[in-house]
Amino acid sequence: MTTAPFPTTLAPVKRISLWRRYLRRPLGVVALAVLLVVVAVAVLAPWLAPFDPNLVDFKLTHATPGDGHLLGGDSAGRDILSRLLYGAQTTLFGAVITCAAGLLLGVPAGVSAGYFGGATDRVCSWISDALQSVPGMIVLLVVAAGTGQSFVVLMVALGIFLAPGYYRITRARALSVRKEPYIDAARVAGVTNGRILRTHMLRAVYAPIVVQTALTAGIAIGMQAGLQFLGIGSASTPSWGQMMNDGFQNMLNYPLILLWPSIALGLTIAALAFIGSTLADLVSVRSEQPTRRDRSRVRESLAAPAPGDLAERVASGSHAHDAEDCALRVDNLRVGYAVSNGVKEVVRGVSLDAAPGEVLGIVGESGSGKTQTIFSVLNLLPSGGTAVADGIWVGGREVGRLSPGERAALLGRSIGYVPQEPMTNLDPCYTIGHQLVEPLRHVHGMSKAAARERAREVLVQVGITDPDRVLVSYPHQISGGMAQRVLIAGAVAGRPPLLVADEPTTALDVTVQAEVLELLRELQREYGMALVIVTHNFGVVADICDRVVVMKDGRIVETGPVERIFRNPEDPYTAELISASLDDTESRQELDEAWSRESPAALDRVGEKDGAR
Amino acid sequence: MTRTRTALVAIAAAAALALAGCTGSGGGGTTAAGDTGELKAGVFLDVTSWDPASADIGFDGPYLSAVYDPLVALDKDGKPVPALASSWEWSTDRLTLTAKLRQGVTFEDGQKFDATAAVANLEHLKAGVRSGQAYLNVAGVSAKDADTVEIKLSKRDDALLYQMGLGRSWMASPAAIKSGALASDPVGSGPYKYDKASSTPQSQYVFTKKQDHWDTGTYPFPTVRLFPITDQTASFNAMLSGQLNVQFANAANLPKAKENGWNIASKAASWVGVQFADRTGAQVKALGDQRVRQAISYAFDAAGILKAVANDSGTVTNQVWSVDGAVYDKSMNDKYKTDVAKAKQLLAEAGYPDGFSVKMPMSPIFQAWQPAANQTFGELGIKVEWQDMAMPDYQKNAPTFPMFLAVIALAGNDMATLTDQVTTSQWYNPNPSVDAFPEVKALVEQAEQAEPGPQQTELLKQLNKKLVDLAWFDVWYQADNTYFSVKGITVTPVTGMMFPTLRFIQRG
Amino acid sequence: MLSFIAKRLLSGILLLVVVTSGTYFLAHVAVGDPTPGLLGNSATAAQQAALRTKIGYDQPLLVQFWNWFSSAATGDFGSSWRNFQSVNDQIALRVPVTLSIVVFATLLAAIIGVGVGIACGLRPGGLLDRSLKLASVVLFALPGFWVSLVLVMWFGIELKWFPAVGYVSPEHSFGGWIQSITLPSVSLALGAIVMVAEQLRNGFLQVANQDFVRTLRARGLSGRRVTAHVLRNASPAALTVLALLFVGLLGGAIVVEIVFNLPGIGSLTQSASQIGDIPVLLGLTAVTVVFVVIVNFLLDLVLGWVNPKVRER
Repeated sequence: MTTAPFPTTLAPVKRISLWRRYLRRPLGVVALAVLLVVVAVAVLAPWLAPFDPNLVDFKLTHATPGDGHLLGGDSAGRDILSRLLYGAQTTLFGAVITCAAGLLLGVPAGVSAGYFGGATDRVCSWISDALQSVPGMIVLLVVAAGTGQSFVVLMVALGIFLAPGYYRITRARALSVRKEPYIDAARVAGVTNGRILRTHMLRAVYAPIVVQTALTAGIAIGMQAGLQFLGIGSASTPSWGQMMNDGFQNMLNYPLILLWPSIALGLTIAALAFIGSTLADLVSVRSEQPTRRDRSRVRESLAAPAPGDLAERVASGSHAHDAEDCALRVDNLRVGYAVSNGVKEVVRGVSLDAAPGEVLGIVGESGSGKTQTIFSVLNLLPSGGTAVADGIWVGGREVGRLSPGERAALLGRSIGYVPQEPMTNLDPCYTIGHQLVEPLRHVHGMSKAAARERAREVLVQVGITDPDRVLVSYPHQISGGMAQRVLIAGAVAGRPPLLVADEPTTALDVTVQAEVLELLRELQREYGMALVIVTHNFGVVADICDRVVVMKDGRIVETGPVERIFRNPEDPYTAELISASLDDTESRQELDEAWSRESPAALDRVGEKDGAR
Repeated sequence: MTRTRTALVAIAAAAALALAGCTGSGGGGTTAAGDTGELKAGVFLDVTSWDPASADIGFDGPYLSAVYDPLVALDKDGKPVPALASSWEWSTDRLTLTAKLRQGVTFEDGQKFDATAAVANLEHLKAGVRSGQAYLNVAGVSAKDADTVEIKLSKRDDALLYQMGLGRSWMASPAAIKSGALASDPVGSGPYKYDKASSTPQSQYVFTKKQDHWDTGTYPFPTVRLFPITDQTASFNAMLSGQLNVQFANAANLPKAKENGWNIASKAASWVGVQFADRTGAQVKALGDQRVRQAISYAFDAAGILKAVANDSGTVTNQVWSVDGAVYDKSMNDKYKTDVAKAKQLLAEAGYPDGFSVKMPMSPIFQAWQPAANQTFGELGIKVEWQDMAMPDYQKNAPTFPMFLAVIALAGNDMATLTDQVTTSQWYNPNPSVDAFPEVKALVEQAEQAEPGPQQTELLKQLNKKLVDLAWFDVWYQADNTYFSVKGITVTPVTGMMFPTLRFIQRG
Repeated sequence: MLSFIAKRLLSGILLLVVVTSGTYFLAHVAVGDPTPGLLGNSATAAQQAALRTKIGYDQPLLVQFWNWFSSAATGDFGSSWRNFQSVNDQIALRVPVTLSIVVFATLLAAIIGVGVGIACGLRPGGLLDRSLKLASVVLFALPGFWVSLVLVMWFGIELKWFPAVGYVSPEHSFGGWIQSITLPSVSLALGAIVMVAEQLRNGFLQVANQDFVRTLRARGLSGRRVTAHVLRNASPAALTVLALLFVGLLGGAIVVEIVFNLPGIGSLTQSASQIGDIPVLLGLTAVTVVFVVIVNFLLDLVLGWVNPKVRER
């Protein structure tokens, strides 16, 4: 009696848009249609059924289809079609009772546990765990034996055992919503708990509950049939499970009696399952995996310039060096994602370059495509993303046409990468030592001892004073600043000639930020690396960069030396960014919001979800 | 869109294929037919207890008959025949039974079977929670000499020897009775030794033949394996796959059994119909009127029900005495030939032209008959409110209802039928109500006092006719128990035993 | 670590007490007077009274409960109301049967399910992945007993590869044991395999989309090495799924045991509940809960070993 653990990270989705998006899924529509037909049949059974489902005509016993009885007769001489139609009533009624019981118990408990936490949470969770570890079938059999086989009581009991499924997803949702700032705001504003629960919480858990209900209904119908197979339940009202039981008794001689209810039951449960999985796909953060066809569609769309959009397709930005002299050169890069109604372009013709020993800054707001540009250089776009460029040069060599394997071989050796969020970029299951040593041994071919020595050395180099303790520590045992140092150490351990850093200081405390920037600058000089640093903050640019590229909406608005840009920004956007950064390094969010209002495209963070947040 | 359709088609195709696989399996099962070296019997229920005092009559027979000898056995017609008691004699007042015991029999633990052992056993059985009901009229048991026992009765009991033979006189080692370990470790003198090491209790019991048993000729199989299989589909599957060569069968599978060339043995085992618990009309006044009971008897299409529900495996009759016995009168069977018009007329005469309302219990095992019953009552205007309950509740609660659907075991002995069906209070006969019917009471008393033999039989026949006239029960038919066995093994069913003891399973 | 074990143990015992006591009262209220059901046909009122005294049913419910509880606390679950044999002995006979098929099915589901799940996780949207999605829906839609019977028909009766019914204990014949548990385990495992595979695939993808995986790739690690990291991180979820599965299969075993006529705790549950044999039912409840507690405890230990964060807690 396990229910499928449900992904706990479900994005809140508006009802109308969910419904519309659902209707775009053919599989979901067919499944929904099947379910609606079954519901309609159940409701209309008295008018649809050709005979009284309980009418016994001994001549009809085990009769084959025909003679006015479309599906023949069962072992008691009743019309199978009529029983099948009426059986839909019983079967669906049972499923509704079970779902209602599970919902009424699980959802309020889950919402309160997630919202109030503390003792409420502990008690509810213990009960939920206990219910899941109770041998439900035993209790159901005892209940069946004791309650005179009452169908309603049995289905309610089943619902109680399925309640933990509801409880767990609701609690997880409520827990994550509880952390949202608007809930705090509401509380501060004096809104009562009851009102918050009603308005905010229930809206947040709505979608996953619908999904869970589809699954629970399927399980309930299956269990109902299983119980009836064990001989539990009433025969006076027709139901599919009881018809299947009858079919089993006669399956060797009259297999058709078993076939009809099996098809009805199977179709209904399958419809519920498809509805559930379609909905789950829609409300889940995880987007549907793109097919090969999707990818080639994106590629074609990126490669062939659309006639009406010609001006937009021309590369933006410029090159300062010859291709052969560059540590990195990107020529007219485009990045697109497949979405339901076409292709979403997030980088639309970007050209830039960086020479060895040069520090290039890429500046822009969230959604400007700067992180996507970096991922394209690394060839590590999130799944579903496709990059097309006229050329990508690394170390003066064109790599854009290389195979994925050859591109991957550049990583760690020719390109080092420093990510944004230190805590999520270390594998929580391995020690830091292991994570530093592993690439040195298997990518750079060092012996175990040499790799360990190098790891220790590079840790010292990034300013860690007790490298031996850090080497044997797990990521959760060190601070964020230290984790970022570890990541930088990992990126430079293989002495790559090119280092790309994606907002390396954003997640850090202000005091630590300066130290880390200083460290990057030192390392860059020491190793003579080219450094490409992505940031939203002109303060960072001023600190460290030689040249800067300003991006907006997937295009470069301005490229030039730092001094020139600061002194004389050509684009008003650049000027605005500069003033915002210098006013208050923490005002990024406001700026984000301001720009979002003006350019709705920035709201659409397709593909940006793994990048700057 | 296409993917969904493919999926649906695939599901339907898989379902159809699977079912085709089921129907096409007939030919495969016959390969094991020649394998009769050992007996592999599928019994409906597991052995209740190896202690004869705690055992059930119904399905424990094959298990207990392997390891125990009975004092008295039955022949195929339910007549008591000698076993460990080599002969017996009734006193003239039929209140004392003197039995001579077989000599030279020893139990597996080396204990001798003699009068002392027999007395210990009989006292154990009389005290037994389940076996005690056979010895209700026994006042005392004593050893007259080393190989003679005397059973004194407090009241004449012409069914005693029958009950003992049915499975209430298995003799166990007195030492084992005393130790209290009998429930799990049988110690008897029977034809087979329980091979505990090779057995898996509750799944398979293995018995090996004792060469020196006094009745070795009756037991042809060197090895007996008994498999308790309750699920009828599982049991038939086992038979088809050759894991069994004898099976307690479901009549629904008769066509397949014939296809496989198996031996099919059937005999009347129980009566099916409506039991009137309230013949005096204490709860529902209508049922106190014999015309109402007769109307119900007229209304049911017994032949149709037998054909539809029981695959015609039985005999349409309106009597509770076994169709194989002397009391049964075939000529009376037409008395309540289906006639709904007549039934309605009788109801109208009784003052119920529009029927009446009644509550009846229902349990899963009676569901097969429910549709027909509901419909027939409906035709008479009798509104039935069914109360669903599990089987134990049915046995507990059915007697509190004025009438209920019943499947009641038949007795293979005519006097035992009188006791079981008419005179004593049973769960299925909560109010014998003999006293309320003077004519019935008179016939019962005469029969109980008559000399056993033709005179007694004649009186029972009169009683039978009276009960049918009064519509004492609404019997639809007597249902057969059916047993399948592979070629080379024959089963002789015995009315009263749900599964016959091993002496009734022979080669041939 | 010690306090962790003690805490889990206490929680397990509490669960055991709550569930068995709850079942005790539920069963007593539900079943009522058990003697007519136990004695069956033609038992007189006197015999029923005798049985009531014998099983102690004539005492007040709380007295009965205390008698049962104090005895059960020492591990003795009394004797069956039907055949008066020790409940412990009966259950001891049946536990190996159920454990055989449930453990075998869990192993099958673990090995095949994890394999398929990872394969699908590595190539989401591929042919295998889409087949898995379809298979999971189909097997979800087909009731377990349906699948079991089809397996019996084909492999038991038609092809005769495996016995259609019955159980052979490994002491009697190891080969026979394997043969007798194959079909039941497979019918239990079929649904479980796709369930495990689905969950593993989703868990795998969830981990594979995390930031540190990109960083590992960016360091130049090969696909195989990165997969090893992903697996290690996905394993707690996988183990939790397997533990839940084990609990689920214990319940699902009832139908399979009936179809295959296996003398396991599932079929005993069914028969005991039909006749209202409460001591047996309670023993079964306790034994099942004990299994669940043990499995969850082992799960916690293994999770601690896999996940350094949990270990410290």
